[in-house]
Parts: sequence; C-alpha cells; structure tokens
Amino acid sequence: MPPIIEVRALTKQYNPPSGTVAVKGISFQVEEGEIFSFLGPNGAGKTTTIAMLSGLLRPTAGDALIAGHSVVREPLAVKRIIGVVPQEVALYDELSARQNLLFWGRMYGLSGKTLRTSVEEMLDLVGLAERAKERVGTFSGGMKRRLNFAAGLLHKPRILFLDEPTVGIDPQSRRRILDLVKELNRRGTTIIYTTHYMEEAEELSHRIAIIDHGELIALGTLAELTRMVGETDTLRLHLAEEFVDASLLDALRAAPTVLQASFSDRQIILEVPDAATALPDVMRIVTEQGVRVRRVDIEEPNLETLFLHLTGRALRD
Amino acid sequence: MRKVILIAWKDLYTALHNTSVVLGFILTPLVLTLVTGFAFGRSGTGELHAVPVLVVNQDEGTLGRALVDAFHTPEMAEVFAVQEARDPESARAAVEAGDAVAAIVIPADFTALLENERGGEEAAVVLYTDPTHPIGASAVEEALSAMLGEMATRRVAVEVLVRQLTARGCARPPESVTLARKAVRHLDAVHPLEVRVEDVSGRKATAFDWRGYMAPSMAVFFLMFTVAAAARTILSEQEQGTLARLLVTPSTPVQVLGGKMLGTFLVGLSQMAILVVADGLLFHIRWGMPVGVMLLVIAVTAAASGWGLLIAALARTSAQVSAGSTVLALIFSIAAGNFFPRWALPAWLRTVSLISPNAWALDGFRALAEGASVLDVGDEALALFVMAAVLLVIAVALFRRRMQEI
Repeated sequence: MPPIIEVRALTKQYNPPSGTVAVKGISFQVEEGEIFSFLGPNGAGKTTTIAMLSGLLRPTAGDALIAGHSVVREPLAVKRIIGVVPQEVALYDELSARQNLLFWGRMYGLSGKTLRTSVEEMLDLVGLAERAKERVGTFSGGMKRRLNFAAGLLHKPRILFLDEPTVGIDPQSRRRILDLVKELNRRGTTIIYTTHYMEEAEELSHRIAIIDHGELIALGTLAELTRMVGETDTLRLHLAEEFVDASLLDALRAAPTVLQASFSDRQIILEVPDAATALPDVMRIVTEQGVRVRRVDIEEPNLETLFLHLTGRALRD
Repeated sequence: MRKVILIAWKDLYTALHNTSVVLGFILTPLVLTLVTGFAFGRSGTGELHAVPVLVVNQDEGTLGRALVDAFHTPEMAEVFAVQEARDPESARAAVEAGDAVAAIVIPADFTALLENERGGEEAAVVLYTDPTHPIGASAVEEALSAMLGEMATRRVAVEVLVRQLTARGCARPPESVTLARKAVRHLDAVHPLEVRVEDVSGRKATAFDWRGYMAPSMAVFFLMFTVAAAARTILSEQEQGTLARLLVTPSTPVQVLGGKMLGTFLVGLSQMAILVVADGLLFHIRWGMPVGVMLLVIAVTAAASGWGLLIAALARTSAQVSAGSTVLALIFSIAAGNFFPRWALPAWLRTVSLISPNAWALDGFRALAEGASVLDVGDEALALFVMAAVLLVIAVALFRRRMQEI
C-alpha cells in the first residue's frame, strides 16, 4: 500500500532569496494509521512543515502528496482529507462552544443532521457538552484547548495534524488530549503530531522524526532512535541555581567520563557511558564551581539523550 | 458562495452581539443626534437660532430697499434677525462688540449703479463680519451673494431687452431703456425680489433643521468607525489564528477574503438601516424617498467599507487599523461637513472633501430629505459605487499578497 503522506525535498524560505530558510529540503513518508511525531525544540521548523502539508503555506521548493494529492497543485483536495488542530487556540470567543463547532463544521462542508450529530458527538468527546451554550471567552485555557481540538475533528478527517496541542494546559486536560489522540488513532485516523515534549512523543508515536534548524536529523521508531545513542546513560543534576557559568559545562565536557553536557530548566543534563563511573567526577567538578546539586537522576537512553547526542543541546534549550 | 455568506454571517452575528458595537456605533449616534438637535435648535424644534444682522441702507432707490426687504421675508426671518442701523460706523462697532454677526452697508448710489446710470461702475455692498462666528458670517455672505447675483441678472436682462428693442426697431434709446426698466420692474411686482439660501449644489433650502442635518451626519460619521472595526477583524483574526484556521478548511483565499469583505459591508449596512429607522421612529426625521434612501445607504456603506478595508489592508496590526480609521474618519467628517453645514466650508475644502464618502452621502441625503427623487441622487450614488469599486480592487490586491504570507 502506498504511503498516505509522501514528502519530497520540502523547503520553505521566508522572503527569498535572503530570508530565513525554515525548512531545508526534508523528505519522509507516513503510512496510513500511524501516529507520526515531529519532535524538536521551538523554532525547529515543525509548525512550518505542518503549514505546508496542510496547504496553508506554499513550499518554496519540493512537494508533498497527501493521499495522492499534491499540496502545491491540489490544495483544496488536500484540505478536504485533512483536519488541523493549530498550536494556538483558534476559536471565536464571542460565540458559544456549540456555535463555534457549528461554524467550523459548516466550513468543512457539513450540514443538517450530519453537522448537528457531529457537533454533539465532539462536545461529548471533549467533555464540554454541559458547557455547550456558554461563550468560549468564559472558558479556561484547558477547556479552550479541548474545544480547539474538537473543531479539527468534526468532519472526521483521514489525516489529523496536531500542532503542539498540549502547550500551556493543565495536566488533566493534557491527559485527556493524549487519550483522545490514541482513541482517534485506534479508530483509524492517521495522526501527525508535533511536540517539543519528549514524553508525549515517546508515549504516542509509532515513529518519530527529530527536526532541528529545519533539518530532519533522525527518523525511526523509539527503539531505533534510542539505539542510535548506543549504551549510554543520562545523568540529570537538579540545581538550586537558575543559571550556571558556561565554564562549568566546558569543564564537564572535558571530563573523560562525560560525552555531552547541556543546561536547561535548572538541570545539567549529561550523556555518559556509565553513570556509576561518571557520577563522582561530575559531582567533584560541580562542587568545585560552588554549584549546589539538589537531586541526581540516572536515566536509560531516551529521546532527550538522542537529541543531546545529535545536536549537543538539550531539547528544551 | 456558501462559504462567503457563512463567514459574513458569522461576522455580522458577532458584531451585533458585541455590546461595545451596539453602544458605540448605534446608540451613540442616536444620542448625539438628539443632543445636537437640542443644542442648536430652538426649544428642541430643530431650527437654527436666527443670526443677528445689521443693515445700513444709504440708497434711496428701489433696489436698496428691495435688498433690505428680501432679508425680512418669512423664510429669511427663520435664519436671520435683521435690524436696520443708522450708519456704517455704528453698524461696524456693533459687529466688533459682538452684538451682531454681520453688518451689510448698501451704498447711496446702489440703485443708480445697478441700473447702469453711472456708466460701468460696480455697485459695492460692504459686508462686515465677526470672525468668531464663521458659520453665521458665512451664511450671511452666501445669502447676500445670492441676492446680489439675482440683481445682477436683472441688470443683464435690462441690457438684453434694450438691445432687442433697438435691433428690432421697436424703440430707440433712451426710450428702449425706459421700456426695458419698466418691463423688469413689472416682473418685480409680479415676482418681488426673493432671497433663497442655497447650498453648494444649488438646491433650495428651507428652514434649517439641525436634527435632520445631524441624523445622516452622525450615521455616516459612525459608519466609518463601524466598517473599520469590521474590517479590522481580518487583522485580529490573523493575530488570533482563526484566519489561518479558515484557510486550512476546504476554502480558497478568495472565499475567505470575500466573506470578510461581505461581513464588513453587512455590519455597516445593518448599522445604517437601524439608524435610519430609529431616527425616523424616535425623532420623526424625514429621510426622504425610501428607494432613494436605500440606494444611498447601500452606496455609502459600500464606499465606507472600501475605505475600511483599504486601511485594514495597509495596516500591519489591528491597533494600526483603529488608529488609522479614527484619523481618516475625523478628517473626512470635518472636510465633508458632518459637524456643520457643508455650505459653510471654503470652496476648496468642499472640492477636496469629495474624496470622502461622507461628502457625497450627505449631499444625497440632504437632497432626499428636501424631496429629491431617486434619480436626483443618481450622481451621488454612482460616485459612491465607483469609489467603492476602486478601493475594493486595491484592498483585494493587497490582502491577497498578505494571505500568501500567513
């Protein structure tokens, strides 16, 4: 069976010829029924890629076939097949939850009983049936996110693009959305999921593409990707300090028992061949610099380690 | 077309359910119409307070008297409170003291000069005006000019009659001159010298009704804000991400843009329709022939929408649209006479103001209120539709380029 998405050297440069190249000739395929995640830091090119695949942005070069339709030549045909849940909540605050869904359903060509049934189904699915008559402007951030999600599902798309759907929401709403993604996929929807949360990519994805500075730097299943790192451990040092001196990271990188070192969110993240051997060296260097360590975590290889391994930076830098 | 209507309907619904739109753009013009009616009118009847004018008639002939009498007709008495003064000096002093807005001095040889008995000399009527009352002074000047124009026409008529009588051999000078003067005086007896206050388009003005003037003025003034606010939603939708979401539905950019533009027009049209009906019901304002009013309402809404959309297309943020539209609405309203009669403005400003929808619309609405037919306001409607078409073409081109950047 041919892939449902086939991306060929997709490139986007803003304000050519001198503008920023946001996506640099990426190519990949997605099989029908997959949850395919784009993992990368903010500004890596994930949203631009989704915008091109959903027909919102015209590629500067390259093309993508969505269920056999070119995003360049047949954007309307592509838009009929896909659903998009944008990164920011894109709803009308002045309308009620139900009015919003009715509007977006009609924009997808639904009408009559089909529309009304789909709207009620989606309100139930995201747990907002009781609040359907209330103006969206009065909703909490989590409720808006759930409704934002529902608006992209009304027409039951074959392919669903989810652009960082859990950013800035409470853990309960986040859990609900992740469960919804799995449920939709179980019903047969192909899902393209962008995130900079490693845990989400690990939990949801059949395959993961790691993107950085507009380039696809790794692609595979979780097992395939973690194997790329080799048998290394991750040491995570939780600090009291908000910032550390760059010389500390240089000193750590120079240590023979350390492969990579980075700092993010009051944590020094170290890629080491063996945590037990490296820990005394690491603690000595850190203590010499007068930095207070509050906790140390030792982790098996994961996507964070892989990103650090591939780029020398933490995923959330 | 379904998508276009759907987007437009959504915009109209959200606008009419927005308290600030209803309060700001519908209730405020109604209140201002009511307030200005009371402020400028006499006991709220909507009539202008009579402008105090002094006249010094030094002429002993018939035309000087006719000029004074013309200011005393019932029609003119609605506008001017004319009193005769002893001499030019005292009249001028009264104007300087602020006791009168203007003083007219008719020279001693006015009739003789006008009847051309003093070979080629011009009859110079002197007008003193109070610069602190530009509107009243301007009204006196306009009225006086109209009267003198009428008199000059009669002088030309005498000359023409003399030539005709002489050429056809009916009489020779000075007999032909005497006959011609008699004929014109006979006409004066049948149609005594009559003064009409005319606006710039030359239509006859009746007693000035401030509330009747302010109703369309306020409606058109606030229309500019309303359509700009509606057009601004294109930018705010872009900022909120809903524009991008609209563009990833199976809709073309033209459909999305068309919907937003139609929405802008419908919001403005609704506001105008509500104001016209409310002004009629609440203040008994006569807007004129309904078909003509509908035509002008549609035309001015289209033109104003064109300006609103052009500002939105040129701006980078919704805040810029607010600032730009406020400046433009104020400039247009001042230049086009939304706050005081257009005839009180300098001629050059009246010409420049034709770039605004306000000028054309106010001329049209005023004409309709005075009894003009739909055909009489055809020029105004056509000008507004042409303005709308030109502005929309430019706005669409700018927006299409912007949509490629989203």
